Amino acid sequence: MPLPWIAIEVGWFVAEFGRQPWIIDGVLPTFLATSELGVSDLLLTIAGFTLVYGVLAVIEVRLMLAAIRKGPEVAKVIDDLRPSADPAMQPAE
Amino acid sequence: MIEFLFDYETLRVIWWVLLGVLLIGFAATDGFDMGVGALLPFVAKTDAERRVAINTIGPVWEGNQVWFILGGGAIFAAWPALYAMSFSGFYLAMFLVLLALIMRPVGFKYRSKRPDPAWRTRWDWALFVGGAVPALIFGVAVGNTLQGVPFHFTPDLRPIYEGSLFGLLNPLALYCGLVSLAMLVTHGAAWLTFKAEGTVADRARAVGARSAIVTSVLFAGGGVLVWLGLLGGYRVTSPIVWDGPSNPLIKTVVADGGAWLANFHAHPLLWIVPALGIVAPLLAAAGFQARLEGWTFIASKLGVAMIIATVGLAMFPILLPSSSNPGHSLAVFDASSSRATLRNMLIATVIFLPLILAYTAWVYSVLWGKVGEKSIEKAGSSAY
Repeated sequence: MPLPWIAIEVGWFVAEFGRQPWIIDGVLPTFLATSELGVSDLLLTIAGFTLVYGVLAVIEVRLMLAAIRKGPEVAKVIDDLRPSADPAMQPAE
Repeated sequence: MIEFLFDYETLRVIWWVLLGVLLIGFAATDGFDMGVGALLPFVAKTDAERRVAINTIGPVWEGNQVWFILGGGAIFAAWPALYAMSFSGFYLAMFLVLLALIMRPVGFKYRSKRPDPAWRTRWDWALFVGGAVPALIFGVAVGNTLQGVPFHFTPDLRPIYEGSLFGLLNPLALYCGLVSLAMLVTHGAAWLTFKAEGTVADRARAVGARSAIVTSVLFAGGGVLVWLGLLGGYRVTSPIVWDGPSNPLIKTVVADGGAWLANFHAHPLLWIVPALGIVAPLLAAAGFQARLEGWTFIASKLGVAMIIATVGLAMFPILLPSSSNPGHSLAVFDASSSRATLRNMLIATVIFLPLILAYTAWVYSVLWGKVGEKSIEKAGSSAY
């Protein structure tokens, strides 16, 4: 299951490393294309995003596990499968 | 015959207008659902009431927020210098807005997943933060744009921002934040009286009737601040070359306290726009009192549009003034992308914007009608 995901990430690495030192090949070198942001700003925001998404990921997984444990609404599924649920399927009298 | 539409100068002005249209579209649609978020803990006390308030915006807030993304996209594609300057200069401010905006979708989606009251209250506050914080910060951003922010360009046109996050949170900018918050709270209240039933609508009506007057007074106060020269003012002093190259270093600009009124003095008809920015919220206040829900929402929408348009018209042709190097300010005639880019995007916009408006109108017509506690009960777990 993780193979497609790894392929995507690795492909991304190949493209990004392969085009250095250009951000647009032959037009704009990478060192001229970066912003003037300091290291502390970047560390702060990456830590912030990691924390928020980390917390949300834990909540998400716990909600999903609860939903799996609860299972589908069995009565409704059986009801939907019953041929008589659809009036068009009733045999003509 | 329509060749003149594709002149560089015409395209630049069209994209300036479109930027305004997108920002107004954003504030007029996403504005009301942010306002509902900001009002949520106050107009809805019980769980059933909160579900009514949340479900009035549940099916539409996500579509509304796309106007915001479209606005960002238009800045990126049509005004790349403005994009580079503002998105890296206001980096930490944008980060705070993003954190608040991230709380919105999870608030909507997670809230009803568990019946636990503590859980639901927590997500209600997430929705409050996701509505109130951006509503305030967008106004702060407008305040800073009016005052000018400290930045310059290096000779190879790299933007260098010289200010800090706390410089952006100055008292005058925060005042503009309050204008924006009052305006969107009013807009949210107008939506709730229009769309919700029962106690939620009654409480929203009471809040809206007051916040509409506050909006009008605060906006007029902002006008006084501009008149006193406290909210910036910049004037281009070199001859403007409308189809010149996009290089913000070849003009001269001076800080001038009265400059944001110059366009209105030159074209007195434009005074209609700020006048409606003051009058429309008062009409909305009257509408709340008279229980004319539809008209109240329209008046509120008009107020939002005119308040934002006032800022744009006051600043034209400047987009983002530099307080430290006024000559480096970004203007409509020297911060756009190329003529071909603007032309191709205009063609795409002319085709797709009407389509988007048509299906958006269709969605709202499908959802027409009031949301009440009974309809939520009937919808069961398929409602938020």
